[in-house]
Amino acid sequence: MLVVSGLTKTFNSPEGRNTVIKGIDFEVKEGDCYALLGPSGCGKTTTLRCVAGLEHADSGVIRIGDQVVSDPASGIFVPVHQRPIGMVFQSYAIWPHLDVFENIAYPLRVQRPRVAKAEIEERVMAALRLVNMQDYVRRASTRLSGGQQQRVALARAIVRNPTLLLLDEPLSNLDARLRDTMRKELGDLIARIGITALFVTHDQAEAFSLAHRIAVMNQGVIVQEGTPREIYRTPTDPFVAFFMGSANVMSGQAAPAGAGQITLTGTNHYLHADIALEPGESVSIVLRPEQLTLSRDAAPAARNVLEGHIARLTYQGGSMECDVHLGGDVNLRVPIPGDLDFEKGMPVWVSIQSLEGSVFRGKASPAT
Amino acid sequence: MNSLAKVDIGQRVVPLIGALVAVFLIAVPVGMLFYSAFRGPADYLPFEPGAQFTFDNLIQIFNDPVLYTRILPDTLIFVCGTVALTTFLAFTFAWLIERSDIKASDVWFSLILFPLLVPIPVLAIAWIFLLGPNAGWINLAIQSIFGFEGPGPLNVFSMTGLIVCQSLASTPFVFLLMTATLRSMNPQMEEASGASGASPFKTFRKITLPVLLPGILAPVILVTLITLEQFELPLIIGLPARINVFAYRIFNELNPASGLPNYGGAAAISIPFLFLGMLALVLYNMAIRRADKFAVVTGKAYRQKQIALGRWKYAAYALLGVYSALAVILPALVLMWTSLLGYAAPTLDNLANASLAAYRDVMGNAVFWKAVFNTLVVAFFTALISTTVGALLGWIIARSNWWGRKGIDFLSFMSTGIPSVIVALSVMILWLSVPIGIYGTIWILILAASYRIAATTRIARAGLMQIHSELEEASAASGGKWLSTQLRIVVPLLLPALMSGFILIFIIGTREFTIPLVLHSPDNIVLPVLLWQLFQNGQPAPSAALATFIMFMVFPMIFLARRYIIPRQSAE
Repeated sequence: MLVVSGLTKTFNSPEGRNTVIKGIDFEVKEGDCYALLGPSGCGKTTTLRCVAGLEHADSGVIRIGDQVVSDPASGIFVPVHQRPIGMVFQSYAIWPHLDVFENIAYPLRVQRPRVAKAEIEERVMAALRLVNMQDYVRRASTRLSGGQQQRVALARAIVRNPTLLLLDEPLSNLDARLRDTMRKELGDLIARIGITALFVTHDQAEAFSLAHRIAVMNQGVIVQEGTPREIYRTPTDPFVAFFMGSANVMSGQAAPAGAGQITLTGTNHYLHADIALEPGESVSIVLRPEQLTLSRDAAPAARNVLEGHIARLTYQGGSMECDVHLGGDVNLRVPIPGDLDFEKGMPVWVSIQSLEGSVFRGKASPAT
Repeated sequence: MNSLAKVDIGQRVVPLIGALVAVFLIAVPVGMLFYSAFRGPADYLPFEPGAQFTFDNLIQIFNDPVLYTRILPDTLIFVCGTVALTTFLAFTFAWLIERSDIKASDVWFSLILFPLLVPIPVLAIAWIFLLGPNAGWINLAIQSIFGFEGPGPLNVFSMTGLIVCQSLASTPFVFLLMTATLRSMNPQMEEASGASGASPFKTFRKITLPVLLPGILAPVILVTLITLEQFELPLIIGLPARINVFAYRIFNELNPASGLPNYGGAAAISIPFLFLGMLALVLYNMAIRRADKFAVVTGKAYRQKQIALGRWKYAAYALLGVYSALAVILPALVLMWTSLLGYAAPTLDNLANASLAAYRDVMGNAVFWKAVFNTLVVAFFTALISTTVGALLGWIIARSNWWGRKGIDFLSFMSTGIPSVIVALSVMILWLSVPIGIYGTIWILILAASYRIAATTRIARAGLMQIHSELEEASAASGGKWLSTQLRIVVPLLLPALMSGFILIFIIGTREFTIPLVLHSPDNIVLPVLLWQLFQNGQPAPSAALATFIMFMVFPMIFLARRYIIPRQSAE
């Protein structure tokens, strides 16, 4: 449906040249919801804007359906208003001089050949019903709450049945509670109308719950691409692993004897991983919370059980976060049930279920 | 316990002084004006023995057919023409600078700004030298190129000439406000239109213009008001053309060709004029509110996408070039030339006769140095009073819950709508009636010109809004009294805002012509008035020399303005 290949984009500013997209490829299948996920400045929004036609790519091909919409090498650039898209902007960009109905009717009103009045009415109302705003038809758009603006923006984006729906950080302007509600509604809506969607977010929870596939971006490249499960369970890069959850990142070194033994830097602990390493090689280890269990009893025979003591307990209602000090300045954060009887200073043992997908060759990069 | 319960005296007294001064600067003279309109006989001051209550002034003024056959039509044509041309120029320039890919936009920006800083009599004299029917440079050039016989073909002393000159002079101010409007538009509004399938042209028509409309309308209303109160060009260019606008008419009642000043008549004709100003301000306020509602003037500036002009760029450069030539470059050249060579035609042969005699003439005269001194002193104290009062009023509006603070807000805002010729008239009647030796000194100029507190109040209030009130509360919680909190915490934080207000009023003060002319005496002469006198006495070279001097004096202010005022303007 949407194919992007070899896309690059450089901005020239008085501060110098800044290459924000360094050759990326991805494909969105018909009916899929696809997320570009990454920290701010990773190039995800610029990628979306290139797909929309709001930025000119420097090179690479963008194809929507059967149509090549951007290919600088052959001089092809279809301007934004001729692309079969609908777009939801981060600020929603609801036009203040038009009421709710007219905002949504706008894409139909500018369409040529003209759309009949009755049809406009019908389609706008259908779009309004889809986003549950049918009671606000003639409301002035300057009197809408954030959530309502978001719904209007969404209705406006889908009213002309675009081939591709683009969403730029669609939920980031909402407050936390509303964001959860809108995330569910947005997911339902996209599924119901079965539209192909590409959206940009920095929030992994948003990407997980909405997207069929995710591309994790960092510094202008796609670091990993796959289903949410693949990306969470088998990250190919410490950046991805770290970005996916509130993970612990540690550095270590392969023991001289090899055989998958790793010294945790700054501690006396060893880990054993089923991974081939050069003796003395630096590695980084990323541990997700659910890989870890905490126990007050020693289990000396088990593999990958680390002894430490509780440096800090943070009560969070149903659960607690427990920082286990392993030596040096190395702490592991482990979630535990809130009703457990742990105390600060207590000796504890952390057991690590599986190190699969947790050990990466090379030093932990400063970006993580 | 007692000391805790005691009200902080400073918090009550200091802002109150500001409010009282504001009332004294604005309400008292205007009240006096209203009173005078109903006192007669007309050549009597309102409190003079023998003066009594009467409707004669109003009856006489409004029964005068000249009002309907000359003054109203002339004013209407002058205002409409100027507003139309100014709006067109200002919006086009603002759009070109902010939204198009025009080159050297920084240079154009400074060039467009120039007429805002130069006193209008300087420009007026330059335009007479350029477009005068007999010896105007542009006329000479046209005559020699096309083989025309003089005089003409262009004549600055005409309604068209007046409108063109006034528009050249008014464009920078409107331009500044419009760039701020353009900068504050969220570009996603336009992108959303594109993503909805609208072409760039349709987007401009259906989204850009309607969204910007309130933000464009507000400066247009303001320039209508400003044009209505214009006095300089109607006097210098309009009078020889027998154009008779409102503002000049008031002046004329005070300085009739024969007979005594007609105080009552001048006051009476001011009243409808004042109400017109108030009406314009109400409309302005409505436009600003709507712009606020559109979140167009949010104070947030967006990085705007630049639109490629393509072939239109030639038209753009031509328009900018013509404006810069007429408003900046040619006036500067003709003034410098005339100061060195008088009316000699601009040829290389004549250049050999250049002489600095005119400069020696002007600067050798003690009046010149007195005018320099007066101009600077008046501008400085006016700026000081206006900034201080504005800060105190800003505090009352933004921070206090005083009874009557809405009234203070209104009073300050209203000052924008009072034409300077009316302020001068009001202050004149006031200090002629209170003979304590202020009339005829530079202090009356300062007292009159300090009524401009709308801008300083607004700047101070906006500055205060950005200072979190907890910063003040933290000082109070540390034991600081109100006055020391203000002096140690608020004033230092507010200083950049206060500075910008001060410089703005200082620049306006150095340009002031109307007030010092109406209140003129040999003792309180300022540079623009001296310039007008020299010019009227038929001394082209000395007046050009003085105009050149003034031009170079205000030149550094371009940088002051760009550094301190414009960033703040656009942030509002």
